[in-house]
Amino acid sequence: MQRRSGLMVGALGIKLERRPELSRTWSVLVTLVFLGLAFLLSGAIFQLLGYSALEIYSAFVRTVLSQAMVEEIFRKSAPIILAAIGLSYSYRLNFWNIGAEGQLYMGMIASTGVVVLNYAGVLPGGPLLLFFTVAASALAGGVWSLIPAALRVRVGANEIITTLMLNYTAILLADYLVHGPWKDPAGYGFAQTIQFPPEARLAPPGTPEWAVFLAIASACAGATFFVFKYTVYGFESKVVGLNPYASRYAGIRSGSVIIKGVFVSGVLAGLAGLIVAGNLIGRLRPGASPGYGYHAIIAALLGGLNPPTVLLASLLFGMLLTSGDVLQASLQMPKAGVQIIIAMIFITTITAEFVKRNRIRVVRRRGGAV
Amino acid sequence: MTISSGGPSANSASPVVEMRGIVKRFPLVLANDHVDFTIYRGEVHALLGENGAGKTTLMNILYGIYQPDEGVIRVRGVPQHIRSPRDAIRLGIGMVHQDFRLIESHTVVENVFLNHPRLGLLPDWRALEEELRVIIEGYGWSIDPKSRVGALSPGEKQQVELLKLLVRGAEILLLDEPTSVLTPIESRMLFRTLRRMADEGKSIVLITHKLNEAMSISDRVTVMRRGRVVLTKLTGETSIEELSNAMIGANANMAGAQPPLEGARARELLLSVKGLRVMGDKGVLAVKGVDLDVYSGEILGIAGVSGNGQVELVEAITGIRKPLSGKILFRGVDVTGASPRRLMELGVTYIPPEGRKWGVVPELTIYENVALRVARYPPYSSRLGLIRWRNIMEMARRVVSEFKVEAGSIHSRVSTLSGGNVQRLILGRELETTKPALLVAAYPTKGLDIAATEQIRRLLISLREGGIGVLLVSEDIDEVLELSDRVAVMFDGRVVGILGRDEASPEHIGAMMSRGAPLHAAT
Amino acid sequence: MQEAVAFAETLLSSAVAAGTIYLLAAVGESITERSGVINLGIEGIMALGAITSFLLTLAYGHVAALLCAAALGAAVGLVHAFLTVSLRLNQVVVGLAVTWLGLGLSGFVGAPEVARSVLESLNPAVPGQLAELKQAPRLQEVGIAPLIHLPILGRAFFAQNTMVYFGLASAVVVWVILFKTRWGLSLRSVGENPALADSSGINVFLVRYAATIVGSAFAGLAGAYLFIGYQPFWVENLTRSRGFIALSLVILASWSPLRIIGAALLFGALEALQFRVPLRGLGAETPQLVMMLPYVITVLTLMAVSLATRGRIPAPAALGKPYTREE
Repeated sequence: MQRRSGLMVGALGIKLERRPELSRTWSVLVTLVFLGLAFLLSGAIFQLLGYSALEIYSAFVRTVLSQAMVEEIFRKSAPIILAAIGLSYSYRLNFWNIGAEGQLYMGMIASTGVVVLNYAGVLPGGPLLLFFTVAASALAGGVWSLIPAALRVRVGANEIITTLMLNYTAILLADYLVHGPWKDPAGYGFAQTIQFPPEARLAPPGTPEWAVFLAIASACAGATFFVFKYTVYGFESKVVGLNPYASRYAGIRSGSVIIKGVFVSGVLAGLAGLIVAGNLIGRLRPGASPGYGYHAIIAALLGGLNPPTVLLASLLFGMLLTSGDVLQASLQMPKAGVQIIIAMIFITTITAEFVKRNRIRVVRRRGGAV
Repeated sequence: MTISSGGPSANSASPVVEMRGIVKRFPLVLANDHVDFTIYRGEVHALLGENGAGKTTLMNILYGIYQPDEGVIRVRGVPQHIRSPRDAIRLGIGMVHQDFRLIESHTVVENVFLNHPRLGLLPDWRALEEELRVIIEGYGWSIDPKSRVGALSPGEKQQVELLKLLVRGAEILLLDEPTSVLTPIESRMLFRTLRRMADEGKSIVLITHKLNEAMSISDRVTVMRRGRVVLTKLTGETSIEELSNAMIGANANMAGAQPPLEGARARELLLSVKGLRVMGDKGVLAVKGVDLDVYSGEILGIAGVSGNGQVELVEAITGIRKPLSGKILFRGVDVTGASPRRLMELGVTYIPPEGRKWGVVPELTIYENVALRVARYPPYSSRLGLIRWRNIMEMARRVVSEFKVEAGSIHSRVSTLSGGNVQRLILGRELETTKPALLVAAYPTKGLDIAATEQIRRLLISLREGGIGVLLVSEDIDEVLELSDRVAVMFDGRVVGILGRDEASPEHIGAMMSRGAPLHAAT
Repeated sequence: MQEAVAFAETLLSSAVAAGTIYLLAAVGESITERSGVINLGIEGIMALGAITSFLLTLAYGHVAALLCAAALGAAVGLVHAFLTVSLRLNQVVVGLAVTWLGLGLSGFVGAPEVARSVLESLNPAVPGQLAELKQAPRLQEVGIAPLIHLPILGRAFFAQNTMVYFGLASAVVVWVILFKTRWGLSLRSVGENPALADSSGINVFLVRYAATIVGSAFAGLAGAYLFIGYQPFWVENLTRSRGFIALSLVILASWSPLRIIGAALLFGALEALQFRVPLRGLGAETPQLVMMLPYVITVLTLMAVSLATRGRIPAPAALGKPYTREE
């Protein structure tokens, strides 16, 4: 079939073909161009709907550059960074884990549970409390992610749906607890739990939160980078994600590799939950997470599953979210506007992938002579 | 075994297809080098040649899949521009490929009439089924138009492919290696059908690399080698030797090139399989009770038409598939159901079929693929689980140079390697990194060019000399005979018989492959 | 006894009403998936359909609303098709991006100030404040005269609004098209073996484009029905993952529109139990636990189906894989 993918006009034609290798500069250039395209398109939408794109973007830039906001940016980015790095373990395995949000919620629930138990006198306080909250949130997130992982490995159940369904289950569970058994009696009737005591939070009092978060995030990114590149697990997980049959032939137990990787994703998401409940809000309440888990998905994919770039992408999200708050306050722009920008970035980035890998060539049509 | 050929007289009606001066270039190779090819009405024309000779390319050009760079095609005297299979079909040319292009979950009638121009918006399926039944009975076949294609045997699937062509008025039929998936009985049935079609005035081109077939069924035969036509003759006026020489280009003896097995050598029983039953992919029992022994320093060849349980048997032996029941012992150790990892540690290694798809990860580099099976063992990784890339790269360099893998560097992706080089890489990797005592190879030379095929065959023989046991699955009877010390024939999930070299002959094996009775007068 | 019958009637009627949301989305998606494309964007498209129907009903009435929702869905489907079929990008990722975009846009436009200005620009004759009330007139019920008197089934199936009838009818029509016509055969072949379909002369790209566009139009209608036919009050996160539940419905129903009717009824019943049917006892105390039911049940049924088919799910063989014409 000589009709190749492309257009033929007369004797000339445009052909699409894969680029043989990828140069760094081209790759970065394309990414930046498309990133700019995302902002352009979103700006157009905002203009159309009656908002001044110029105002929005200048507010965005001001937010990003202001000293006071930098801290806030790091704080907001922290859970996304953790969850996104965690997700890179799942996506590397071709396991479409959409459940970071639910795992994050379970982390919040578990750590709140520890705090409640401490308040009720069941668990001891002091420095040990931090250990318990960390352990509880990590484990809760991990276990919550094991359910879809096990279902996929044992029965072949589609993980996109199972992880998503579990998200809603976790969010509703949190809702129930906050309205019911864990409701703060002294909370003026609001649906919220008691506050997290300072020793239960990840950043002990006196240390700047953003520094602690940065340290944790960098440590995670660095460790993950190392694991992917230099460990047997990193190699095997790469193989499992690329070619499941070959990995079976290679003697790799893909089931256990998947379960380990997804568990790590859940653990990191759970820890992200601890940061949200412990540090960002200070307690558990409905709608505690404005979708950090979902932002993490996009950040992970944007960063190409490569820990350093995932970190950068997550920071970008932190910036967007922070400025979203500012914009809502100052310009009365609905927060969903940020979601539009994020979605646009998403779409343009994946299109950018395509542009990076392919090129257009003009060909002369080769015909059979008569 | 010859089927009486009628055939046209050479100077009868004008040719129905004339291809003149066909040239086709691909990036690395000149596939067709000024080829002339003629088809007459009512003849069966064998297009003979080794893998890579250019015969399939030539027919693909006739069928519109490729465009020739130079040359003319005349159909019924009129020059034609065949730009796509649709053009070809309109001209009455139809092709049946080696791999069946059918949709397993649809019925026969749905497959045959897919996108047929006559199909109305709401077709009368019953009438169409009736129409098919008439044709089916006319050729003496027995398929049910309402049955799902997935439930049919390879021979029946081929009949569905033929139906597709007939229903679109094909008068010129091109068949690409049609008997590669058939049992001898099914092959005979196919030849009977083809002869009837030729008698009806249709023209058949049989692309094949099997000399016996070409001799027995065709009226005329054309031999191609390295992109050129070497010989075109009436079958009655040539011989197997002449054809064989033309195909290979030298006076080579095809069968039995191996030195006879030496006398009593210390033989260790490596593999012992007893009563093995294994389930296949479709919920059907693929291996129905197999007993097998493989000794060190021998090649045990498993002959049989593919699809009779060979792959499942071999996957069970190498740990990829769990057997339903039975026992597998390796050097006395019970390894029934053991994992591939364990078997590899014990000294069993596997060369899977279609190495490109199953044995390597094409997106990864050569050195990563070399590490594929052994990354978790020293010296390729440390005890803490850290990979020692330097050792891996060293080993990769060694494999590439010793096994003559043609590649840019060990950092090239395996997707850039040719089939032969991938196979060399896999073999080299397995032998160097896992140092097996037993090598299990399934269809190792399938689809490879002559040079690679020869190299691999010689490699297997040298392994045997070195005391390694080889379990070889091949669908090429000649290859099995050439390489094996003993031949086991599989049919319908059972080992029908095990023959020593002296007893094994193509006819003998062919008979066993068809109905399982050992000594059967060849028909 | 009387009470039980009344309860059954109410439950069934609500199940049909709620189920139509899933039905429309799932039938559309089954067309798309039968051609080999998985469209994870239907959640976002449903949201867009909902906001469109909200504002357009206020501006021009129900008919305009439905048409625009379908058209918008089709347009988004076109984008999805371009990215996944022509550019061959990963279908999961593109679908998620589309969902995000849809959710973001609908959330944005649904915010009172934005809704108001959009409504004003759509139809200056209509007072913008109406948008801020977050409500719109409902689709009327149209009874089918003779059949409405059937016991239990009568009220449930034949006293609904037109979209419900449309949903049920389209499920049947789509089934007929898929399995009895030439087009359906071609479409299914594209989803099973695109290379074969291509060499048979079927335009694989065109078929997949069409299937995605039609499926997305259905999703848009599902969102429109969700609002004007079922729950005409604009809230944040109106769709609540129903689009994703519809996706799992398609799997559950083995990609057959007739079975989708049954599955949609089941999930409609679950929804009805939450909202439309007053619960007593435990259910009233812990509404969230009851709200969890659809999600938990989806997981359980998916698990059951996967277990039963042992991974050999009867999905179209080429589902999710982009098609390239090999040289």
